[in-house]
Amino acid sequence: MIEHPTGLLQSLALGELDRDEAFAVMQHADSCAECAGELADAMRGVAALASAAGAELLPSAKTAVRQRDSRWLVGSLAAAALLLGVWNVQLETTSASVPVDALVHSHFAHHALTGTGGQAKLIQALDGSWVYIVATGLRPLRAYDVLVDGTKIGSLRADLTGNATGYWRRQAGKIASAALAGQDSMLRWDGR
Amino acid sequence: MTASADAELISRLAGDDHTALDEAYRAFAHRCKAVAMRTVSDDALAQDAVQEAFLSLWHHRSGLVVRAAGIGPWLVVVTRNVALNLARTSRRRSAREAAHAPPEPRPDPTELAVANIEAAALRDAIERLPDEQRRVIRLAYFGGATLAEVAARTGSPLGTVKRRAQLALARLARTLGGAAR
Repeated sequence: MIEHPTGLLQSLALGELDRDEAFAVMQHADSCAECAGELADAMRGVAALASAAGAELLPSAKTAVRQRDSRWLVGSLAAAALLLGVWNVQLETTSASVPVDALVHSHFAHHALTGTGGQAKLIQALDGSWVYIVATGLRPLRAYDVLVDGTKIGSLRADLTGNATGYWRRQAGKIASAALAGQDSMLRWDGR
Repeated sequence: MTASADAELISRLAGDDHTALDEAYRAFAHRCKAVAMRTVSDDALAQDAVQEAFLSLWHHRSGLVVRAAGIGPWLVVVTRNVALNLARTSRRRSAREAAHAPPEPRPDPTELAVANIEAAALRDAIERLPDEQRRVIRLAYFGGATLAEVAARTGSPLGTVKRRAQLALARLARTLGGAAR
């Protein structure tokens, strides 16, 4: 006889369960039509509340404004990239920190980072005042450290499709090496 | 997103079509992020919640619940749940960052108007619930009480409280369904 987690379906929808409990209930409901129907009803109700309740708190405008800015910047970066033709990996990013001005107005060089766990390019101002990393084929959602001349200058996180970009300004100076280091991968360029 | 477009997306997800996940992200990430931000008030945590929800969607893409609830409601609930769990474990950090948060930009007047209409619809839908169901929703959703706590506070059996929650949520889904899809 199947044991249905009937009493936990509403708790799952309302967010009372921790991740493990929620996963277990969802696993059952995913293969049980009776529980799936009841959970779906509860989810639609909570989603309706969550979508409409935000109107009273009014943070959505702030988010929307930020995302519009982000989309504009991403579009600008993609256009700049196409015009300049400096890299051959696909650019798909939600990062707002894109160096459009830097790319358009600076002299720059680019280097491939090679190794395991993906592909990446370092684009840098010739005077070393900024660096830009664009990577693909990374582990989705994993964090990576960015190292220039052995010193960590920042980190970035791959998106759902394994792409990531990051841009950092730094004190001008020659750059001799760079690396993108993940938990179990290393992409490196060494110009020495 | 229309019901038929949602069904097509679900079907493609179930067929392991990665591009369907990208489309779902483009269609629903904005709303999920807004829901997560209301819960954690922290941009990075909110983004983590959204990404975890989409990964979870991929893991559960062949299950019955996504198909029955629809992608939007499923994602909103999972995002909110992840955000609630993150908020529980990082309450102190959120409080510290909120104290140093920059002032919020002025909301767009059009969005304010839409928000006011949605808020009015929400209040109306809640007011139209039977008294005992309305009380459960107010305590459990807006008050943050667990259903067990609601049972204790109202003096009702836990099973009865759960049944009331189920009926209320199903009714709100029908009334406010447009906002969730």
